Amino acid sequence: MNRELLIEGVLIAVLAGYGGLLVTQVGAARLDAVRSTADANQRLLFADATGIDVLGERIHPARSPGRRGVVAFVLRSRSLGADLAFWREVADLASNVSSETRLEFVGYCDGAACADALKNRQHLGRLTVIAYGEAIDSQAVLNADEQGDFVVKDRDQPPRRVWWRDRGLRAADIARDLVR
Amino acid sequence: MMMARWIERVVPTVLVLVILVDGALTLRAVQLQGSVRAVVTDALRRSGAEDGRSIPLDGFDASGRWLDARWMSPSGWAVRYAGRSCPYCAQDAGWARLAAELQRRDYPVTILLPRAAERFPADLVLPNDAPQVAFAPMEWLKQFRLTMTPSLLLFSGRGDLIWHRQGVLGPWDVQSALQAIEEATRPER
Repeated sequence: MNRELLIEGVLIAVLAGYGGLLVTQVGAARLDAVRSTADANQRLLFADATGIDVLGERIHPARSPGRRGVVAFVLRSRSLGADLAFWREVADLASNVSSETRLEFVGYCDGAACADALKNRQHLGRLTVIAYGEAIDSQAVLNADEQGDFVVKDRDQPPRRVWWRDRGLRAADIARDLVR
Repeated sequence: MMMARWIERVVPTVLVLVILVDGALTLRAVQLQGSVRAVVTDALRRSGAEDGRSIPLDGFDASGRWLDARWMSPSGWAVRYAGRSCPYCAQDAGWARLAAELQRRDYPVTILLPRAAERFPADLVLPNDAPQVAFAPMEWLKQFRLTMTPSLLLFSGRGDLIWHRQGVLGPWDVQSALQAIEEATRPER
């Protein structure tokens, strides 16, 4: 009888240990999945702004002479006029401050409405506009824009995000920050 | 004596209870595996994007040549997000099987490359006639949050996302993908 009890006792201990392990893993697994998905979305994998412009022409900003870096942002169709005016002003101000080392300003159209509206290129000024982009870089810019940010890749520095939407910043503030 | 009898009764009862609790926890862990996968895959749709039908993926290849949406089909289409330097893409045995099945069913596949430089050489493209889009329309890209290669998205002929998986295909995925296609192409009564 004592032997049976002993075996049952050992079984209880083993099963209780297994149960405890399950309890800790059950909570942690979901948390890990949520966290790693969020991390993956926040990771900034931006190398350069290459793509196809609104007229179907290939854009190679990296080949532009005297280029210091690239500023990439989303042009939203629903606020296209305001976005365009803002970034044209930033690009003009930045080039006035620093004419030797140029920053490339590349807008990513968020859809066909934006691309169609910009086909005559009359309102672009110093801006380059991408309608078809590489998946990784485009996703990085779209992810940044979801948080109200744009992306800066300056020389050999890692890319960084800058918060601008809904922040009440003037074009001059952004330009000053960029050419610093 | 009384104590010994009490122990004899209680220990088996506790054992049965522990077995039941462990069973319930195991069941919960299995359920959670599904829910963890759902967390990962639910994140595929970008929060700002409208739910519902997707536009077909057209675009430009790595040399800047236009690829039209000739691969659209009334039965639907697939988009595989993959690149040649991704080791998991090359080791994805499930994809080799599924790609052959999709080709047999005339279910067109488009490869979406993470970057133009990730283009597959002709002998490594699966299915072998799949166009490789290097520059995709922002309108299409903004619908989804593609965080890893390989990823597979299956659409119905009307553009509904009917099945998707981020990561290498698991043992049950091929069957589950084909089942999703069959359900989507089944004529409505």
